[in-house]
Amino acid sequence: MNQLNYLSSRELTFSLSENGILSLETGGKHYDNVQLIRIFPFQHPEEYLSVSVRENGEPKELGMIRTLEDFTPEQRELVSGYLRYKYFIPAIEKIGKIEEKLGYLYMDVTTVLGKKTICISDITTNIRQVQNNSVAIIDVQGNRYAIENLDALDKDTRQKIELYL
Amino acid sequence: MRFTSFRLEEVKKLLGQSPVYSLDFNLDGRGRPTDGVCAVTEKELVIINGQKVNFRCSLDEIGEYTTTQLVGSGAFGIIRNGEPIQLCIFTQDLLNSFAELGKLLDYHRETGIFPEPGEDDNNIRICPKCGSIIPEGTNICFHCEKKGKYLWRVVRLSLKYRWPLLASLFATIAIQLLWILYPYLQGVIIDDYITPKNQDFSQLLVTLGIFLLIPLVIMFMEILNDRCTAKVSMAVGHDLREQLFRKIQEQSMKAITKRPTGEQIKRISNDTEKVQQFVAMYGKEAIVRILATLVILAVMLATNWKLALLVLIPVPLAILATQIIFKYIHRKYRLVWSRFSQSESTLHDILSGIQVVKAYGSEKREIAHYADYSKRFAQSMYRADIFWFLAFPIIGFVATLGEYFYLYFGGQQVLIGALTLGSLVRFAGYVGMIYGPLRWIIQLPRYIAESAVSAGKIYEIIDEKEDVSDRSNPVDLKIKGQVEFQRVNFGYKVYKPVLKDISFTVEPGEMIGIVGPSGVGKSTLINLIMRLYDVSSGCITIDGVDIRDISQNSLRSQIGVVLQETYLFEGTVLENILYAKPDASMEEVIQAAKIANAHNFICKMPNAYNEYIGNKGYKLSGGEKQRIAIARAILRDPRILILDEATASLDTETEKLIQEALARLTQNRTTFAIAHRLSTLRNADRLIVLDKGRIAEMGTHEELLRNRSVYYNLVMAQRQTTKLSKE
Repeated sequence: MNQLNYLSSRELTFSLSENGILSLETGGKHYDNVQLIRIFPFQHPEEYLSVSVRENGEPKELGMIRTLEDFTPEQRELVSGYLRYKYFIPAIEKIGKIEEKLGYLYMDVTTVLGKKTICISDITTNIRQVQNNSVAIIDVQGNRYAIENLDALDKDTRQKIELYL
Repeated sequence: MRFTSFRLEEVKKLLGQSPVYSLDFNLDGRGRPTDGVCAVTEKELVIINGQKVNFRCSLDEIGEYTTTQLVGSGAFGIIRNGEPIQLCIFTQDLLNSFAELGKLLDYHRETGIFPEPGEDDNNIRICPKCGSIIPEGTNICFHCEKKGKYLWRVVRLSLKYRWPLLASLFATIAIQLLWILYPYLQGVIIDDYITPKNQDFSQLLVTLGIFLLIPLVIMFMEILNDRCTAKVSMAVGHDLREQLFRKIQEQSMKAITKRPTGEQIKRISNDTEKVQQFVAMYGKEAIVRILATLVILAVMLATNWKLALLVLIPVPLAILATQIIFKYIHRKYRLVWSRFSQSESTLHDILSGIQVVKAYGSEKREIAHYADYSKRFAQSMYRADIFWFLAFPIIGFVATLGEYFYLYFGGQQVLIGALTLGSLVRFAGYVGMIYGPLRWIIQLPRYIAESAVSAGKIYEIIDEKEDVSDRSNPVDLKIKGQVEFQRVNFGYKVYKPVLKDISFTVEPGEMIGIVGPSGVGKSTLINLIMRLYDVSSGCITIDGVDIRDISQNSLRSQIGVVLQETYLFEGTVLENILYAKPDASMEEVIQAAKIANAHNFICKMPNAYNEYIGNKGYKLSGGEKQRIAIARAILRDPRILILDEATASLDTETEKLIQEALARLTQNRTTFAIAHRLSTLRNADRLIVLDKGRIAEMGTHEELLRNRSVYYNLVMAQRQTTKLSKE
């Protein structure tokens, strides 16, 4: 009972507009506003990508990309660009001051977007260790952050975040 | 809300005019940081990325504005000629702003007017004092709020019981003073009577009598103190638990569901217990012991200031060490609290789902699961305690160094005759007495911090702003049953509308079926009628009165609900039926059960209506629970009835019984029924078909079938499924 429809990288040609609209040419058809969904965003971010298009105004899954490794470097970079903005999760490089005030956590963090104080509510839900060594954080504004490798952090930052894992 | 770009001057130059609205976005189509602006002029919508115009479109061509929440970002777009076009991408914190921009532009499309942006309650606000984010659902800036403020509120609450509090305070002060008197008398006895020069035995006996009387008075004072303290602390604990529970009960569904049940239970039980302890022990004792320490210090300095200073040399050292250690200990005990909370939640989760655990035979996995959390809690507690037990004796040792100084220098002074033996003994008493309270005071910050965190957590809920509250003069309406939706829009999040532009009128006594695919907003619609949530725009009226003007109590007391999953409370059948109307007579209960087709099965149970049905009614089948729920609804005699998948997941025979019961129940009542199985709604006067959050069509079963639209397709799809399952 194999219901998985893996799409071959040879049959897919993606293009990405400046505004981030992903288009696809496949089987002689052209689709705009294509959606790629990471099925296992934490374990396999570059594998098991569901390809969804709109047909007659309804979303429809065309099939699944097993791994991005099968694509040409250009196509891979293009799809990664799309996934990068859709799953925009800046990595936390350093944690400065952490203050807990009545169940809310105020954390000074440094990410690719610079320094920022983020506020986290319901700490147990919004700071989660998703893999052995990585952490997902969601602040009160809905922004997501990631710590990709706890071991790669400086000791001070690691000790600070471990308090909440 | 602010709709002016930080790059306004550049935008003006690029466009050659000043935009009406301009909003910055910060990501490009490859997920890289960028400086973009979405600008709206009188005629156009323009997207600027860096220094160049990427996209421009006349406002007249735009059919709809869309704000989409992606996983880690958001996107703003338009629909032009039926085609969606994504225009710009931004981080999630800008999602609300773009959703608001979309609303303003929607308004402009309809009216030709560019409205002034207003303040939005749903929006994340910034504290004017410290610049930190003020989270949704609260007005408190947790960043600059002082923790002591909450303990002070506990103190103020204690003042409600001022007489026992004053009595216990008086008793504690008396006890401390009598203890101070004790070493003084010791010194007097040694210096004045236990010397060869004084043979006055009668005076000695009187002094010894007083000496004996002191512990006796102390004993009585302690009894008084304990009784009064217990009275105050229990009363404060009770008051807090009650306030907290009442607040949780009065909260909207949105507020209640945002915290896990285990967390709420912990706040009601554990946190109030901690605050109770604070009142019983630390609050009052702290004041008294600090006072006692000051008095003893004064007496010591008056007796021999040089010796007193020697004894006190290590005290600053001990206090400094305490402060440093406290900084670390607080973090460690915070971790203990969090691990305990996780372990409790896990336990709650596993025990609530024990049926699934058993069904999948995953007991061993769950044991390991819980053991892991329990171990993590134990380890954190062990580490914190190890740290504490290591730090505490070190501070203690430093603090008691003074006692050695006193023995060495004090002994020397007695030998050279500069100090009497009695004074030395008295001094010894005071030294012992000053280090006792000091050690206690050293521990105080830990207890105070724990109590402050708990008090804060309690008051956080008590102070929470109600998102669905009664207006200042709510009406107690006797409902006839006319329900009207007027251009209702609703979304749990501002950028995610669930119901869009819903308008319809239901006459009293009508039965309305609500149908549509899953996730289309059917349950949301009935939640709005019950006012579990408030509409985002538009209004709902009952008998012509806006439901926000009707008191929630009056509204809900006239609405009956039968859900797919019936929740029965622990207790008997009778208690569960009476839940709807506690003052109902026994005849009314039996009548209701008969109408609900429940009477027969109830009579078959050994204790009939007094049968204990266990936790969540586990002794009953799904159909039986459902009939009790219907009996409950009948007893309430509601004017508006809501049936949410009331007959789903039942066998045909039971469904027939329940359908019969429901037919009796819905007579002459305005009824809203949701059902997946469309055949169950055949008796409805009218059907509302929802599709993509909007009303797709409305009419009787026959009318809708003739329309051959959404409803027709749903019916055909279901017939096909039934046919297939029969085959």
